[in-house]
This record gives sequence, C-alpha cells and structure tokens, in this order.
Amino acid sequence: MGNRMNGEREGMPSGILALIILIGSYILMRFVISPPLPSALTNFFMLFVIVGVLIHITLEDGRIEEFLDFISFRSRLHPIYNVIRWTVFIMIPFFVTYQVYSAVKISYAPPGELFQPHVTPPEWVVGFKVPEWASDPATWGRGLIAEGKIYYENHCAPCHGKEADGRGPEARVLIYPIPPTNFKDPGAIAQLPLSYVYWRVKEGGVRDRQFMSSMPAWEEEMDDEEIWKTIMYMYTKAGVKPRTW
Amino acid sequence: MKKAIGYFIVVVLVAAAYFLGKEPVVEAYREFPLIGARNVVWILAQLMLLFAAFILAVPVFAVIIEAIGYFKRDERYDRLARDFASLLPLAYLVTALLGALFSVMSFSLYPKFMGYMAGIFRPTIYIFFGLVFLETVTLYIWYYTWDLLKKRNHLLLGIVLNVLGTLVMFVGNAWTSFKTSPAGVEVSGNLLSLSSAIFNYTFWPLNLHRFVANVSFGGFICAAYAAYRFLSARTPEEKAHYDWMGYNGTLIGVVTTILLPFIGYWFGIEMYKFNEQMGITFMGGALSKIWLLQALVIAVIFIGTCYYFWLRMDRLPGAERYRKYIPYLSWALIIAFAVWSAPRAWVSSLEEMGRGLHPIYGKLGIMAPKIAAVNIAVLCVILTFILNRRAERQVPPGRKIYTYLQWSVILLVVLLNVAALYYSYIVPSATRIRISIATFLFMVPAIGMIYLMDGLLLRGSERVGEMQWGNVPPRSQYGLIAVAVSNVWAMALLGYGRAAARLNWHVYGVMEDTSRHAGLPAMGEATLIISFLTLVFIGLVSLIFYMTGVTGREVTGGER
Repeated sequence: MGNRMNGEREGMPSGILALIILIGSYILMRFVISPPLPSALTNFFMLFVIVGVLIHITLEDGRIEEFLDFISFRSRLHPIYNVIRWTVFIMIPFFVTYQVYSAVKISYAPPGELFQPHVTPPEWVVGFKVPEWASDPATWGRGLIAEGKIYYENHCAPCHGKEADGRGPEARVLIYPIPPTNFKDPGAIAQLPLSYVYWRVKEGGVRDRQFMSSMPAWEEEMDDEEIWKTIMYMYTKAGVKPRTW
Repeated sequence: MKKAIGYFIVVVLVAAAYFLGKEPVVEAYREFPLIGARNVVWILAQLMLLFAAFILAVPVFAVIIEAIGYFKRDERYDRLARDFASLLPLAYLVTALLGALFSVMSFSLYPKFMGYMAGIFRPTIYIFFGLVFLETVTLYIWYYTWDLLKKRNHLLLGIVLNVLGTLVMFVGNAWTSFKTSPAGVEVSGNLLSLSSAIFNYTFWPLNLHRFVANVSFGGFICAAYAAYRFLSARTPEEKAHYDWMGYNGTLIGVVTTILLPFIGYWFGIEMYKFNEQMGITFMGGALSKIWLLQALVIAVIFIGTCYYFWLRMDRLPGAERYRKYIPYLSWALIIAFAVWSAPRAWVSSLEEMGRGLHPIYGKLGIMAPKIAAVNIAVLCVILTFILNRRAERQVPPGRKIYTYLQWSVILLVVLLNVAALYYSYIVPSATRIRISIATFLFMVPAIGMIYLMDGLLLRGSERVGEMQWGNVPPRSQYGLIAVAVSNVWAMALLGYGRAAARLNWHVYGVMEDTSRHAGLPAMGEATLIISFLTLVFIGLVSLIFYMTGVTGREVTGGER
C-alpha cells in the first residue's frame, strides 16, 4: 500500500493537508475573525479540528501509512513539500517556547470575564405572577405603551438606545464585560418571560454579582406600574414578544 | 456462597438504613469526613443509577435478540443474547449493594429530607421493594432456564422480566421527578394527593428518556464489551463472533441515541411548563455550560460510532464505490458538533469581547442553530448507515430514480434547516420554537423516505461479496470503547444537570437545602466528580466483564 522510502508521491501529501487545515483554522480563529475568538475557546474548537484531521487520516490503512512516512521523514516528497515539512519540524520548539513565554509573561490586562446572558433569578422571581393587565402582550393598550415610551426614553434610552438596539449615547463607554442589551436581538428579551425582565429592571445588574453589568436598579425611581409600562414599550419598540411558555 | 454473602450484606445494609431512618431526628444534616456528605451521596446515587440502567437495558435487548434468533432460526443470535445476559447476575448484585449503600448514606446524612420523602412516598416504597424482589427472582429463573424452558415460554418470561424492570424504574422516577417538579403538595410540603405527586410534570418525560437512554447505554456498553473481547480474541471464529456482537450492540445503541435529543427537548419543554425560571437556569443560565460539555460527549458518541462504520467500509468488499463520500460526512459531522457546542458567551478579555456578544459564536450559541446542527448530524449518521448497507450490495440496473429521490430528500432536509435557521433570527421566540419543532418532526418522515427509497432501490439485489466478520481494523474497536466511556460520562453529567436545576432545593420550591453543601459546585469540581465516578463505573463493569468472561470462555469453548 504505502511506498516507503522510494518513489515520489503524486498530489499533495496528507501530512501537508493536515498542516494547512490545522494552522489555517488557528489563524482563522485568532487573527482573521474580528474580534478574535478567546484563546480558551480557540483551543476548544481546535480540538474538533484535530479530531477531524485524525479521523481523516485514519480512515484508510493506506493513508495512515503514508502519514506515518511523512512525519518520520521516510517518504520522498516534492522539494516544496519537503521544505514545508522541515520548516514545521524546526518551528515546533519555537512554538512551544512561545507558548511557555506567553503563559509566564506578566500581563497588565484585566482578567478575562464571563458574561452570563441569562442568570439564575432569585427565589421571589420563581413563581412570580405577572399582574393580569400586563401579562398578555395582545391586550397591551396604546395608552399604556405611550406612557411607557416616556419612561423608556427618560431612563432606558441613554444606554439601550431610542431604537431599543442597545446603541444609546452612553453605550459607547459601557462595553465590558457586556454593553447595554440590544432588545431586538432574538436571543435577548425575546427569549425571556415577563417576570424575568421585570426582575432585571427592578433590581438591575449592579446588585447581582452573576451579571457583572452596570444596569442600575430602577425600583427606587419607578413604581411597579411604571416598570410594567416601560416593559410594554420596550417589547413593542423592539418588535419582539416575551416567551410565553 | 459468594452471592449468599453478597445478599446478606444487602439485607444488613437495608435494615441499617431503615433503623437509621427511624432514629429520632435531632439534626437535619450530618457530615461525612473528607469528601463531604453531598459528594458521597452524589457518587453513590450516580453509580447505583448507572448499574440500574445497565441491568434494565441488557434484558431489553437480550430478549429482542433472543426473539430475532428464534424467528430467524439463527443460533448466533441466541448465543449473543445469552452472552449479554451472562453479565446480569453479577451486575444485579453490585446494583443491590450500591443501592443499599446509597440508602444507608442518604438516611444517615440527610435524615430530615429522606424522612420527608419517605413520608410522602411511603406506599410506593413498599411497592418498589416488592417489585425489586419479583424482578430479581424472575431474572434468576429466566437466566437459569435458558435451555430448560421452551423458547417461546422463555421469551415470555423475558418480557415479564422487562415489564417488572420498567416498573421498578418508574417508581424510582416518581421520586426523582417529584424533587424536580413537585406536585400534589401544599407550599408547606404537606401531601395533598399521592397520585399528583407521582404523575408530576417531568414524570413521563423522565420515564421515556431514561428507558430509551438505558437501552442505548446498554447497547454501547455491550459493544465495548464485545470490542474488548474482539481485541483479546485469539481465533478468527472468536473475532468474527465479537465483531458481529459489537456491530449489533452499536446499532442498537445508535438507533436509540438518535431518538434521545427529541425526547430530551420534550423533557425541557415540560420543565419550562412547570417553572419558566427553572427552564432558564437549566437551558440558558447557570447550567448552560453543561450543554456544551454534553455536545462534546455526544459528538464522541456519534462520531465514534460513525468512525466504526466508516472503518468497516475500508475492508468491506464492494465499498470502494462509496469511500469517497466518507470524508465529507466526517467533516460535516465535525462542523455540526462544533456548532452544537458553541457557547453564547465565553470568558473573554477586553479585546476579545468587542461589544458584548461575539458576532460569530454569540449567534451560534442560541437554540436554533443547535437544532439545525443536531438535524444535520442525525442526517450524517443515517447516511453512514445507508452507505454501509449499500456497500455490500449490487444495485440492480434501471433504478437510478430512487437514488435521485433519495438525494432530493437529503437536499430538502439541508435546505429546510438552513431556511429555518435563517428565519429563526428574525421571528419571535414562540414562532422560532415552533419552527424548530417542525424541523425536528420533519426529520422523521425524511428518514422514513430515505429508508423507503433504499428499500426499493435494493429490493432483490445481490450481495457483492460475503460479509467477512472479524475483518475490521482494531482501531475501530477502540472507537467503540471511547463511545461507551463517553456515554457513561454523558449520563453522569446530565444526571448532575437535572439535579443541579433544583439549585439550593431538595424539593424545588418546597423543601430548601440548608446544609453547607446547598450551593452548586463549580463546573470544574463537578466534572472531576463525574470523571471519577465514570472511572469507578468502568472499573467495576470491567471487573464484571472479566469475571463473566472467564466463565463465558468455558461455555463458548465447550460449544465449539
């Protein structure tokens, strides 16, 4: 099957293809995509790429042999492929050195943060009954929504934006670990039941360490009725509906 | 004698549990040295459940295989069923020991909570032990009358055994599901209706999920057993038998696994119906990272299984024609699982975070792309099966139309999923969920159509060459072992997930956990315990394999 030591192979050796896929995927994730994927996540996805490459190589007996010949320098290759093979071989210690260097290098950057989009609500939210007049989006009256608009534009729009797209004037400085929510995002308030959103507005994010957000608590500024009207406007403006089941 | 001692220990432990439970309760919690009360109960519960799953699963397909052998009049199936069943007597003993140990520990470390549960479910506890007794007796009769009874009667006894085993599981599930989604009790916890407490929101999804998962788990474990025997086999006949056994175990395992995402989503929906907040915590909140790990282990299960089937094709006469498709399937699976395990948010630095959610994985991290990925992954598995089946057959001429139709269905599945995915980003969540369910449901007729076309295509076709059992590369067998280990890990992980969804409650919203172990462990700590108990389980099962393997070899040697 494999032609060891003799005869040049036709086409690209699987070892070269594997290198292209591995190095290419890494470069794609860390340097092409913007912002780059976090390093831990890159490693996580690299695991998939490595498994994919290993599966590809071990699918056929012949290919395994060819690959082993490649990495053990037994096969004779086209000069270009040979140069690549040698370059990668020589680069391995440098790569390891760089990894060690970056691991021990003192960094002044703030530590990485995990933003948790939907955190666990406190116990009072569990089983909280939404007042009947606010519970069904189909019955939200125009008057209530119009009133909500005033509260929204006074309190929420500076960060979440007049268009409910998370692009208020303040949003430019609030970017880490999480900027103001874009309510139009199908993964944001459209995913949440009303009771959850009510809790977020009422108690904000600053009080809850899970969020790590600078969202203030509005319960001292607004009463319950006003909060509900604001929520109604928020959903209407964003053009999404709360989760209903 | 050994068994007698084993049962004596079980009886002593159960009696101890009973009396410890009876002891006047002075404190709600007691501590366990070194690893803490919660961890010891967690480890024992999960180990017991894994063994329970095993002893429930093996009889299910032992009976199915025995029946196939009976109707096909093929001795090999009977031998296979018996080989599976030979693992049972010892496995029963270990399960009983672990169950007894778990009861003792729970009653002694969590007396108040266990007292409450025993108070609510008292009648069912008697039923449970009665059923366990009947099941054990039936198992021994079933196992030891293999050659004595008429085949038909033996099969009937096997069915009775399975019904009893399933009922035992249902009773246990009533207790477990009650803790997650209690019903039939007042806010203070007093019992109002036992039947409501039993038939709570998550009772039926849990029953179905566990039943199907148990069968696939049993299939994979037995495939791993066959793989181990294959690798240590000395003769070509032995190799052929265990290759065939591994193939059948894997087939049962993977076919049932394909059903699990569907049942799992039903479970999730019931959880949301019971309590939306719990649903959020479980699916998108504090526990959301569990699903990424789950995607990873399911990736190992699906890809490992396909890898095994692809490698078979490397040695299958006639498979050369289809080998060129395999790399596409393998990369499609890899990409599908990468999407499935993409998080919505990740620990990031200032530069990596950009503006909040990442434009790529932030978008892939929600449900809709994952559902599309699951569907595509399932499609790839089905195509692997189809190719494997077709490889050994000569397609009769003039039937190209069926291949075109098959391709059209495949294309339709892909297009539908892409379109559904596109719309999922613009429509409200309620519509999105409906679309997702529809794409899920569409898979059923689609797979049916693919198989129907295949049946028509291959009707009356001739084999290209004789199937050569035993002629597979040994690395495929390691794939099967990896699949089994991942399966155990997945069960332990999701068992943890379901229990963790209760957060700091023993019984959600009814009885709070006020012990020092009330909070959730860090994900890293949880995975260490999960890995530890996976190792212990695999170790114990290997021991059972070893012990039954020794006696089994004598039997098979005698047959030859």
